[in-house]
Amino acid sequence: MVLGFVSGWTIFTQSIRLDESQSLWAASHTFGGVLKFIALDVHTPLYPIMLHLWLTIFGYNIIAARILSLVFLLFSLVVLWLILSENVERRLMIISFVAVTFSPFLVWYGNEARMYTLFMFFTLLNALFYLRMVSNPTEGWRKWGGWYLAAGVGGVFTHYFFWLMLGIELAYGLWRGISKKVDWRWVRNLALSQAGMLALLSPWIIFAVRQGLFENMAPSLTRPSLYGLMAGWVDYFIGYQSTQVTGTVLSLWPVAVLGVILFLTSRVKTKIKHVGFWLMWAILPWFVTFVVSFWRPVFLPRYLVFTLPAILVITSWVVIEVFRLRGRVWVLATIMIVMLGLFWRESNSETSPVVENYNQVALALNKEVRLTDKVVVSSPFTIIPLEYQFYRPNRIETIPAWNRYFPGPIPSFSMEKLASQVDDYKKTYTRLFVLLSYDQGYEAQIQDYLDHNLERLDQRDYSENMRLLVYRLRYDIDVPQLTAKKP
Amino acid sequence: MAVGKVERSWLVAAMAVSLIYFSWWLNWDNGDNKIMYGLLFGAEVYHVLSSVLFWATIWPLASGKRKQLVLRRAMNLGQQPSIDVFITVAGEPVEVVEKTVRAARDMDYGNHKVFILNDGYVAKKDNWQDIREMARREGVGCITRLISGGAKAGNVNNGLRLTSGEYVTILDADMVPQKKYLKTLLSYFDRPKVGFVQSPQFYQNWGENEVTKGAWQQQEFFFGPIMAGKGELNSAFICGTNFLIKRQALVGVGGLNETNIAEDFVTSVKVHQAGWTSRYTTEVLAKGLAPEDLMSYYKQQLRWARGSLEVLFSQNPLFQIGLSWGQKWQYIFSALYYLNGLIVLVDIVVPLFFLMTGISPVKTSSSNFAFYFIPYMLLTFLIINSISRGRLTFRAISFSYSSWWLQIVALISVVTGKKMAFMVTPKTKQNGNYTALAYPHMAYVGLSAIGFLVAMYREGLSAGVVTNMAWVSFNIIIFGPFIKTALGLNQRAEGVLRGQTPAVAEVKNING
Repeated sequence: MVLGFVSGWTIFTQSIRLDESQSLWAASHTFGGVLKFIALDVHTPLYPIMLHLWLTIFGYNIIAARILSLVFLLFSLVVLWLILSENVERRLMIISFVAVTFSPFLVWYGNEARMYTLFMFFTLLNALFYLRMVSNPTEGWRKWGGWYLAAGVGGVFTHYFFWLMLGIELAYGLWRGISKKVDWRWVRNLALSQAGMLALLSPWIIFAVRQGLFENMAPSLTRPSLYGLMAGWVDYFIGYQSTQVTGTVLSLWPVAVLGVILFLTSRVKTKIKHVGFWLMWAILPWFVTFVVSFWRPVFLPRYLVFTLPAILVITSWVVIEVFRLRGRVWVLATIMIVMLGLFWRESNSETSPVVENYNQVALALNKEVRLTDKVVVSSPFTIIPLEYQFYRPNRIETIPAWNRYFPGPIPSFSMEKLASQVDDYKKTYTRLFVLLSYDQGYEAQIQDYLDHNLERLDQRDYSENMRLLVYRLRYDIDVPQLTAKKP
Repeated sequence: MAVGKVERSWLVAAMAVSLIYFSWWLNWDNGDNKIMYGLLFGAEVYHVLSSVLFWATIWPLASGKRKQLVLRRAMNLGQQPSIDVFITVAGEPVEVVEKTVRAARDMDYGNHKVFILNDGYVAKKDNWQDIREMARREGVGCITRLISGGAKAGNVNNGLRLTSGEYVTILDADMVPQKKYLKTLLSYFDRPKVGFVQSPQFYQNWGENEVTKGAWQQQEFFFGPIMAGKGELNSAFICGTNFLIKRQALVGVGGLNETNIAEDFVTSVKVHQAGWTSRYTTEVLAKGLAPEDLMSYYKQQLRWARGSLEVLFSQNPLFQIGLSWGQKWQYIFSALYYLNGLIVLVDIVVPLFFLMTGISPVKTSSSNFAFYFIPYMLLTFLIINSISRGRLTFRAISFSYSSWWLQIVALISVVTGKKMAFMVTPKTKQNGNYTALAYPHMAYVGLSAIGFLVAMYREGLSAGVVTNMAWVSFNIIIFGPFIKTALGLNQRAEGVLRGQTPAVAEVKNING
């Protein structure tokens, strides 16, 4: 109920965000169009297709899209409860379940129109059947093999990073095989199942490669730093917070290390079945992704969301042993309040890195913009969330200019193109509204050029890294006064 | 004694991780204030060296090697060489000694004689005659020294002169042997060159209170994987009691060494130098008493620290002829432990110094360091946990870490050449207020609080302040169980009334 209330409030009140607008944009295509669009992106097709069908039934709007994520979050929690009840002792089960349920990181994605809760759902479902098969190696494949395969197919069609989960399962299976806890036929079945998943996914991969997989709309990621890696981990505990808060929590790592030492030196009473699997699940994907990122940057903490249950279960295990906690009401209430407090801060703080107030910008523009004004955005793909709530007849353009209806990559930025664009605007328009909200490496150059070549009438910051600039383009016509309140 | 399993691959990984961690320190560009960085660098050399020596010690215990421990016990027990059983006494309560004497007399072996080596007279203890009387009553020999000298070693050497058994075993007054004690130890003399066999010191009162628990849990780790590894590497050493030695080996090196209060340690080196080998069994064959109060614990630790450091400075095993390199490093490893006080001092002062002054030893980000440190730290503890079957507790770590003060006292006494009397660890609980033993630790807590306020005033809640406060908290949390015990909080909880004897004077006496 608490989760439902919190989610309901967030789903209805939060502005649409860039990533969500892209989900909606993808789902708005025809069935074939969705596949083509996703093939150009870095993702797999299951979520956009499900979203497409969902929105066809419930209406094309962001709230309906978010509710789909919440549904999968709730399904995930049911599966998590089953996993915990079968594999960990009761007091750990209760505490870790509450920790995962109210994790600000997970609740955030439970309220966002993205594929992450679907990804979580298939991961947990797959892990549930896998753990059942590991616990019962003689009967397991017969009873749960089909379900394991089905959940795996769902997973590989939801996110490419699902392969990391499958890799962990295979590695743990091999380890069990080497230590003679399962026979080699069991391991062979596992490998064959995963090969089957690959075979089923391969048509999609061939299709995506032909469309130019990773070439057109992939986010430009940089090589992760050690700080980024650790900050990503911190995000999983406290959600997306300001740099200062994350940095402060991160600086407390020596105390966390001591906590682990305390745990290792205590006579641990609570038992977890297959603790090696849980540890691999929590740690290995981070390590692999981090290392691979030095060859090809793929590290984004949210891609590793499937490790969150394992991280929080292991952490809960350490905490309850160190502090001798039991699943008392006050313990659960404390966890819940702290987690929800962090979530509230994540969703509302001005310094939160994930708050994107496109709706406020759109409201201001709806009020200010006349037909003689020009609205542009940078980076180009931020046009999608702005358009979602911008009702004026003016056509929004992008810097650099991009026609999203034309197949192919987003054009590169150059100062010459910018100067040419601005010169064109001077011929027709009186004012230029520029929204800078996602820095692809040339935001500062844009503002610098405009500040040096045009008279700036206004500057407004709506949220972290979201700035609206207003410039005067012509002096032969009077410009109207700005009336909308500053944020 | 619990010795668990560790795969050799883990040890190789730990070695690699240790070297990677150390490589961070070798990058001198990480340093900000070079003096502080240099101090920390020295401390890390110590930490990494200790870790590497620990991996080397437990290496023979990893993988399939363990079977040899059992297979080796193949001595023909058909013949029963004569054995003298020495029970060293210096004023311990008669009832404590009596139990040991009876158990020693009744051991399942046909050719042994029991002697009480009674030093009560020279130690000016009131009960020395009672001990003699008790020996007569129990039908065992009693050798009472009338001329002092050489402390416990002198007492044993006096006994050696007056007896003639082929083997000698020494038991502290409280170490009650099991019936199988002699037969089991003798079975390890499977080769002519085996000089001595050491067995664990088990504390039967280990669960009595926080001190006995702390003392025992440290012992458990030492007499578990560490000594088992040393035994496999032919580098075991005599631990004062519960060992069986060939008279020929002991007499050949002039008896127990009387020049060092760690007489057992020095004697072990000499026995190895003479070409004898050593064995260790993890089987508990005698049960004794742990120090029951903090002062007794303090005295025991101080004596061990003083003796080991003296060996390090004046009879450094590295420069002893006749030892293999493996034995040299193993003996160094044992003695190095007592330099820990100096290292802990560096580790606890550096973050405090930052809080007070803003001067930082390093200039790279804390997360960068964490990336090197955390795998090293966690893998080390995982291996320790695994090889000791989870026996090393936080309490043991706390007691060990909190001994920095007494280890520094011992170090100073060695460096200044100040003599320290051989202090027998009391076998009964001494009443007293031991708060003074934790004054340095409590002072650290107070200074940390002041440091935090100073740092907050200077730069607010910066990343540097948070990280250094985290390190300070790290130290304070580890001191926690020790401070709690010193303040008697555990005893209060157990409903034990604290005595009135002021301990401050006693500490001063110890420190000379």
